[in-house]
Amino acid sequence: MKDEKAIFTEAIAIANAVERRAFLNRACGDDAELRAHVQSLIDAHERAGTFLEAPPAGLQNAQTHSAVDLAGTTIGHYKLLERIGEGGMGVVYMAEQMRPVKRRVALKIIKPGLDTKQVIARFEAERQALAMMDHPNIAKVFEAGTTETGHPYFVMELVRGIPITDYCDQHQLTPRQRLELFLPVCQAVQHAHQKGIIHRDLKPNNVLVTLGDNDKPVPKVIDFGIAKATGEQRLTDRTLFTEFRQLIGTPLYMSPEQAEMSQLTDVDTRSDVYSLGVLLYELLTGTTPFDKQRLAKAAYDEVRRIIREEEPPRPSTRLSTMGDVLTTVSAQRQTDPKKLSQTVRGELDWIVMKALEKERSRRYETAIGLAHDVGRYLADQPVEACPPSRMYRLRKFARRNRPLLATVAVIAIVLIVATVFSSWQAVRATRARIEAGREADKQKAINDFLQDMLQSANPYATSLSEPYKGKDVTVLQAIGGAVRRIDEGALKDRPEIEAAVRDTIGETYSSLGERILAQAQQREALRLARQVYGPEHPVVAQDMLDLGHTLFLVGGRAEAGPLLRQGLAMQRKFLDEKDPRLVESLRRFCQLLLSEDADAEAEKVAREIIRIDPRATSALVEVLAQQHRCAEAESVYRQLLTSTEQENGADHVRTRQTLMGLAQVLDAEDKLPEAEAMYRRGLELSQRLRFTDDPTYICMELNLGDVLREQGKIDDANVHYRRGLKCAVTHPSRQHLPIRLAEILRAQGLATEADAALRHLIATFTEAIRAEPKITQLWIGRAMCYRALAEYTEAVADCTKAVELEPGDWATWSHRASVYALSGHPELAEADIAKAMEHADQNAVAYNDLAWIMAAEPSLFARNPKLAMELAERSSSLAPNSGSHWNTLGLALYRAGDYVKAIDALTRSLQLQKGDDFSWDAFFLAMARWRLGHKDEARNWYSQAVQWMDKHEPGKAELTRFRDEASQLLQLPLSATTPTTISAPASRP
Amino acid sequence: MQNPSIEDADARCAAVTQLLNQAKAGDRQAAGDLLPLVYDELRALAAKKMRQERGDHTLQATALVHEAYLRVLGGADAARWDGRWHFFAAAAQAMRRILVENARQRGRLKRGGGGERLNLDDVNVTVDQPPDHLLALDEALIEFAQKHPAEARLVQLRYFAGLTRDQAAEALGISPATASRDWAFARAWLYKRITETERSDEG
Repeated sequence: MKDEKAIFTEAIAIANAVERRAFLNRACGDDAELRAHVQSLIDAHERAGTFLEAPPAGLQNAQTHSAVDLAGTTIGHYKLLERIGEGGMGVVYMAEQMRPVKRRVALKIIKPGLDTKQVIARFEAERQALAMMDHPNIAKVFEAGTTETGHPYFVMELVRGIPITDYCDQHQLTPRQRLELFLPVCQAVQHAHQKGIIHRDLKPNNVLVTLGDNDKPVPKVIDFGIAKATGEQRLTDRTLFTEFRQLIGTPLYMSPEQAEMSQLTDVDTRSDVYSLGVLLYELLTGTTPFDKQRLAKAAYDEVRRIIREEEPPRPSTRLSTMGDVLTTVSAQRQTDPKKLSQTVRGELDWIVMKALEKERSRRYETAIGLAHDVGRYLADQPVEACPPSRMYRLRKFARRNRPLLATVAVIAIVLIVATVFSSWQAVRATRARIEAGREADKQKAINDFLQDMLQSANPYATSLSEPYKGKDVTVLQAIGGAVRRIDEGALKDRPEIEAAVRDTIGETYSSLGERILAQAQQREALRLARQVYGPEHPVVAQDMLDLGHTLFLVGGRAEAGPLLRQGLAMQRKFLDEKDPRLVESLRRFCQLLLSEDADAEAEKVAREIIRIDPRATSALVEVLAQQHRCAEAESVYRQLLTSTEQENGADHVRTRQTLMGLAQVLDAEDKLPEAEAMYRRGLELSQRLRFTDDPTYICMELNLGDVLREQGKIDDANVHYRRGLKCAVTHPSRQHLPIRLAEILRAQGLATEADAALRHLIATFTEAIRAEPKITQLWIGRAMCYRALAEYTEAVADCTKAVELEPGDWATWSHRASVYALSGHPELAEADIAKAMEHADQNAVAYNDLAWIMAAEPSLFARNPKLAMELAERSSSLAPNSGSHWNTLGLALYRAGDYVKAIDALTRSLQLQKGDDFSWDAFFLAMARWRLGHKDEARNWYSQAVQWMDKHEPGKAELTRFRDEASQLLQLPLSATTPTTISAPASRP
Repeated sequence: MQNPSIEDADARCAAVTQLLNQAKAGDRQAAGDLLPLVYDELRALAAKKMRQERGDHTLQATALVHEAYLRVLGGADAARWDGRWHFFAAAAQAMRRILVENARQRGRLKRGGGGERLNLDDVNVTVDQPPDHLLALDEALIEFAQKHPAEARLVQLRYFAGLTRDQAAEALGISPATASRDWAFARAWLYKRITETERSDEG
């Protein structure tokens, strides 16, 4: 026989399969046996994995107590009589206590693998609390000790019973009887919780049923305090794996936070609520939420992932997929498959699923809360469970998976509708059961409601002309339908549900980019939440944060600031300082701080976020970008891109968001070709994700247009501008984008196209106003479109409507003032500014805005220079680190004729803004220098300003006016491309 | 050396050192006598650690070998001393024996030790390989050693004593490249043998 080893060795060195085969044919010749043998060795070689590469199994002391029957021996004061059970943790003996009293007890010897001293110490730490427990459904734990061989043991009340699930099946208890038996279990757990004891290992084997007086079944929860003593190892990194694996026990009843096993999430009473949920699931369906076989087979990390992430099927769904087993399961419950499914579907599903929420704050707060809901079901009262958690999941879903926007939105309606009817249905169901008990009624009512809701959707889309028809719009309208139903009182009797639904609708609006519509819902949600929960409550805090963030996004910073600050402070009271839920709130707070130019504080917050979640770097990037630390930002973004891609894959919306951020940084660094490539990647990804109608998409098109234009690729740029515009006009909340795009097109002489786009946007607004006439920002938005078209009469009319709706808001007055100023009515503008000041309330942003309106327009400034100066000085002293406020002051000083001081202020603004908004300062620096007779410097500033403007803000209406003002003063020709009719938003970008 | 089993640890260490010196000088008898001494040393060390650290702690076999080595030979010189390979050869063999005994014992206890069948939801997730795996490997190794003794020694050194490829190559007096080839062959051979056995057991 030829040398199998030599052939094998040579063969595996040949990578190419064809060549390898040829070699084998040659080497083995006609020796088929050898050939087969070598081939099987090669196969083994390829399949061997880490065989023999990992070290051999550890050495264990095989002499364990689980293996040796100790009956007849004595441990401490206890004589072991009989072995009565064995579990993952150890062996249980019936024992006789000899001193101080003679009684039968259960003695559990913990199996090897634990540090005995620690176990005993932890048990002793809880011992007093354990001794305080006194409940008929709790088996007392008396004592802990150490056997001679060093194993910890526990002594507890002897319960002669069998696991609750076995008991129920053996006695064929009906679902109702099972629920009744489940109630005292919850009460027992609640009792323990009140004494500060968490069980941590609730499962059927720890809930035994024994027979009490009159042979009445009495459930007894055993092993309180033992899981904590034996399970809660302080896991050091070195020992994490082995100890973890040794200690885990059964994962079937384990809560997600227990599976997490992180140092950050401490297990609390709600972990027991989860386990009770699993128990209830099993009592109803005969199976656990996750399949036993599957968990037993899965690798460890997979088990953890399943528990933490996978949504188990609802009990009724599980029943429906059981096949033949369902017959047995039903028989054990004295019912038939159809009836059992009917019983479980609906309220019982909801109760179980609420207990099984992944996030513990969405579960029942307490075990008794769960019991009460079960009680309500048994008493035919509407249950508390379900709708909010479902909404919540939707919300999370919408936040995470933006690529599925359209789908999400559709789901959103369905779920909102579902929520509306489910709570209503609960009421109705009860009534139905009491009055007639007719299930069919309920179903029909649900169907009617659903159809009614879906048919009511849609007028928006039909009235819009084809090119700008967006699919979101119909969705918006459908949500609007749900809103109207709620407004009409569909949830009048359930304010807590109404609050949750409105907050969710708000978040859904917000995720669709409809911030204006969002904020109205969130405002109402907050009001209701305060009414239901009082001023201090986690729900109230969340609603404040949600509303605050939306307001911030629509520019209502005056109101957003306090809401975000208070909301965050309140949330911190309820959450652990490293709770991941803080990340989102902190991120919002960070954005607020950035907008307030509080860079240092913002960076602190951004770093706090990273301490909580090392991957959450986006806030830091924003901080760095704002401070022009571009290189740092770029490097953080590149890391983020790599990790996002690794985590979510390249085709994921988070990847797109990161691409956008990186592109913007590159753009800011003037790395134009790189930025272009990155935007293009982002847009291609948008196409692949079919995510081409949201604000990020619009921004990418616009920015890519800018980058192309700056490189001189005008035609290519316009392609992208147009795409962005086409989409932008269907988004009422995003009016500044189309307006800006229209300006750019206009600067290129494409005024007709620009006007057409603005008209479409006006149409969008008009439809939105028809649906939601009481939302101020819709009126303002339309006014801004009219203003951009220089149709001031219409603009004033819309602003006036806004002022009527919200006379207490300085911003509405300020908007009208800006329109008056542009339309040649300085006296009316001045009056509105005075009104705005009454409500400005020490708000730097407000003073800046108003001062700007006055300083930008010479005729208005001339009417009341003193007021303008006062406003500008106040705004810059309130926000001394904000460049734009110094810019305003510089303008005012220039208008006031104080050219030296104006130059100081403008220079300061330039320094603070580090190159942003250069021309806003530079045109005035040119004019101030000119006035002082420094003509060369003036011309120099002017030409730099023109260059910057052409590159960064071509056609920007307001800048164009300043440019014209400067060129007149410097006796230079006017800009050719700019039609003088166009006017611009008064507010600075 | 009629009775190499020595109760006292220090005496045992001294005896091991002496035997290693003799083995290095070419005394084949000495090399053979090493085994029971090293075996005792490893068992004693394991038992001591079990007592010290935990009631029942899982000890890593290869770590134990290296610790025993340091205990027996001590000090920095040991790392360069030629005789050390004799020690590891003996230790690998001893450790293999210990592990197999341990696995046999555990296997016996699990099956016949009087415990009821465990419920599925009571079974802990565990890192330990099933005892059968070691026993199967041991059987396959015996067979392999008859045909390929040098390669089997390599497996023993690497797997049971935890030597790296280069260390094992040095111990066996072969080149690292040869060690790589032998290792690939041995792994494939043993894997094939064990999986064949498992399949025929199932069928």
